[in-house]
Amino acid sequence: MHSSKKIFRFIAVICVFAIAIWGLDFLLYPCTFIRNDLHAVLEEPMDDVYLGTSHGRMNIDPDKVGEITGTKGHVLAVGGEYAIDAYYMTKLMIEKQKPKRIIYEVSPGYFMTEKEEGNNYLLFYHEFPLSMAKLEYFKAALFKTNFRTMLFPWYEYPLDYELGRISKTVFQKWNHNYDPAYLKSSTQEYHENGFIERYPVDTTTMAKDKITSFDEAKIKTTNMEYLDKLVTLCRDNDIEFIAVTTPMPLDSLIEYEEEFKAAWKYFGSFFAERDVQYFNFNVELFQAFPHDLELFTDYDGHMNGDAAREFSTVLGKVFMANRRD
Amino acid sequence: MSLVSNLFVLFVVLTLVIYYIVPKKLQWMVLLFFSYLYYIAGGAKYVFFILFSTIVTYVFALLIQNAHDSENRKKYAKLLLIIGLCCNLGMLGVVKYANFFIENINLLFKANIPGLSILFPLGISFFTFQSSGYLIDVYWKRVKAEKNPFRYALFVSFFPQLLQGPIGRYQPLADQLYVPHAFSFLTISRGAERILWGFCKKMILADWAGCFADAIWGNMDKYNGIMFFGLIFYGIQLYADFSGGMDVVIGIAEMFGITLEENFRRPYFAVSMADFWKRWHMTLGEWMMNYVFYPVSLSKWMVKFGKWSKQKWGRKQGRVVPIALADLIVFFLVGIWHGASWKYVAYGLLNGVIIAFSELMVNQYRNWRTKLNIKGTEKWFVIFAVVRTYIIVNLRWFFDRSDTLTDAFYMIKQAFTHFDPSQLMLISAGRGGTAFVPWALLIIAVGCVIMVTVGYFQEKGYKIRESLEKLPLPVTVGIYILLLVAIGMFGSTATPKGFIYAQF
Repeated sequence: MHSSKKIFRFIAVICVFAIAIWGLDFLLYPCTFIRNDLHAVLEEPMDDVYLGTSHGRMNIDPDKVGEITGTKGHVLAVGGEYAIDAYYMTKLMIEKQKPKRIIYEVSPGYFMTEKEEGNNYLLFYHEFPLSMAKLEYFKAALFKTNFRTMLFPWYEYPLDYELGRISKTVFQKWNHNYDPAYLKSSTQEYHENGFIERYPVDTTTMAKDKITSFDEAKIKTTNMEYLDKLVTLCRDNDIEFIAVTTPMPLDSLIEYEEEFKAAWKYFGSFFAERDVQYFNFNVELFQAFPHDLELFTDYDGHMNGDAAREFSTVLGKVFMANRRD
Repeated sequence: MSLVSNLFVLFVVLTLVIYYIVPKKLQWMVLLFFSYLYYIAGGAKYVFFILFSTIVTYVFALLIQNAHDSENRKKYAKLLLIIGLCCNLGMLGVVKYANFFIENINLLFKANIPGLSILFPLGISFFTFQSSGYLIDVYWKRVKAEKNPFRYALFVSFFPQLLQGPIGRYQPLADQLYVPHAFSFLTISRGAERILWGFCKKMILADWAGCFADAIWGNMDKYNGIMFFGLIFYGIQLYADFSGGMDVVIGIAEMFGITLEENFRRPYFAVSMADFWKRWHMTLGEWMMNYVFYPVSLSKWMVKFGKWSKQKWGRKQGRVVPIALADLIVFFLVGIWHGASWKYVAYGLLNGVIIAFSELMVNQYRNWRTKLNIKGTEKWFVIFAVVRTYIIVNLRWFFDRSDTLTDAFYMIKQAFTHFDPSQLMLISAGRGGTAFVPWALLIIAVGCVIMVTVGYFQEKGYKIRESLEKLPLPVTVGIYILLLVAIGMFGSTATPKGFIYAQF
């Protein structure tokens, strides 16, 4: 066989592999709310972008904050988001469309663990459009992971879940559909601004959660390194950086008093050293919002929708009262 | 750098591209450069050990060669060999066994000698054995000492085999490492095919079976009714993990045009323990056979012992006794090669005792078979022998997998006193216990059926890979895609594990 024919066949085989891999990703990787969120922050200009964890996602409604501050915002915080993810999402936003302010929601427990392969590891990376930020993110977070993260990102989801959603997935991706209605469930509702409204629960029968306790000696240094890099990145790009810790139920604050005290002290001094405004609603702003259990949907501090909206109004007022012009 | 990581995949692709675009006479240098890069990526601090092993064996091989070539220095060759081996294997001994000795001395004499904080370099058990084999081969004049230190360094450090073997012999490897290799699509596709097969074994079968094995061994009290399942899962995990790793390693080397020695030949089809060891970790077995078994068996003291045993137990038995003793020595070494722990000593000796016993009983077995009119080639007898060997092989895993000797005996006791298969459903398989256990078990079962079927046809002499080549290209590509996709679809959802043998 001529060598040009061989080369053509080789290239054809590679193309078939690439198409198969892309096709499976198209069919099987479900449309997550991060797909909607990243689409929103990269397509529309935003004043405020909220990063952090599930507390940021469920306790802050950017529209309510915006009613007080006059800003447009979107929540990019989510359970499973670590400082490294927040850092590269900020890099991506800087590359595509820079926000004016990053509000980082701090949950101390997240600094005690590390991003773990197979556990929502690709939630953010998968939705990144081709960019320098994506390449850097790959180098930092995916180089050492197993090759399924590169070829089959859908391996993170159970096959029956993927197959059950396949028609919705194809419809949404094919039509570039970002309708939040697809993300509604029986316990919560996703809003276009990224806020997830949790429906109230009967707190009298609520089971106690095991809250990841804070221990300064056991902090994963990578998390702090990326948080530090995130602060610097914002500063270097003229983006205001604010840190927030949302209220916790009083019962939890009492039960884990020592751990929380140590955490507030640690993060308080971390942000103070970097001249970052840090609003902690469990310490100096304790009185600014009630900590009654009925406002929450669990002992871990996730509020119900009404409480979250009220808290967001309070947060907006705190922002206004502490403006640094 | 794990063999299953993105980084490693990209590393191999980059090495291949450079390997085939540079002038052919520079190809071996590319391999040397990337082999050291690979080793450094695993920890720059470890490089000292591989350099030490390389330099010592390189220098002593040259000295031995000079001694051979010079009439009046011939007698020094043996001394040089001993010094060279002491340095090379001594390094392995200190790194791997020093703390074990200290622990036991402390225990025995109630002393308080502090342990050494020594690094455990990647692949040290493999590259020290490979380089020691070379040194002995030079002494035995089987090979000429390599004069170019860089070429020799490549023999010791060739990256695909560095972490978990196979333990190569100098001549077959040198014949391929330093000669030019032209790019061939066939070579690449054959290598890729082998790699895919290996990844399927590792990421589907080994990692799922590992979920169950780890759970059972990690919670011996909770799962005391399914210890035998633990053995079977561990047997599957270990074979699929190690042989899968070998497929990947051999496939990568194949892409560079280099054929490495096989390390497995369907071990679970073995008809005896001796046969099993000819099929399992074959390069270690051959190393032990060449450099320990024969030298021990043919040594003066063993010949004397043989004569004495013939006088004592008669011609037939007396001839077998020295072989049995050499087997015991070999398997004791095989045991401690796996690690510095009493459980490995027990594991090695158990193998040695089984094989030595078989050697001693060989005449008796023959007599029994004659009396029962069994030729040994009957289908039912072969199946019986395979099943019998499989059971014996699995029973030994108690010592290999348990953390300590005490745990091993505890598990044996539980295995024979408790049986409650329903405990299997209590295991938390997959990441954070999220997997549907029957689904995971089904994947393992189907995987085993495929492996056994493939193995059966290979045993029958059917050339599966050659048959694949004859298929039309679209069919072959379809099979490759299916294999690749199977890894994504059916691969274990537990946190990925490294290769077991990479820890040795």
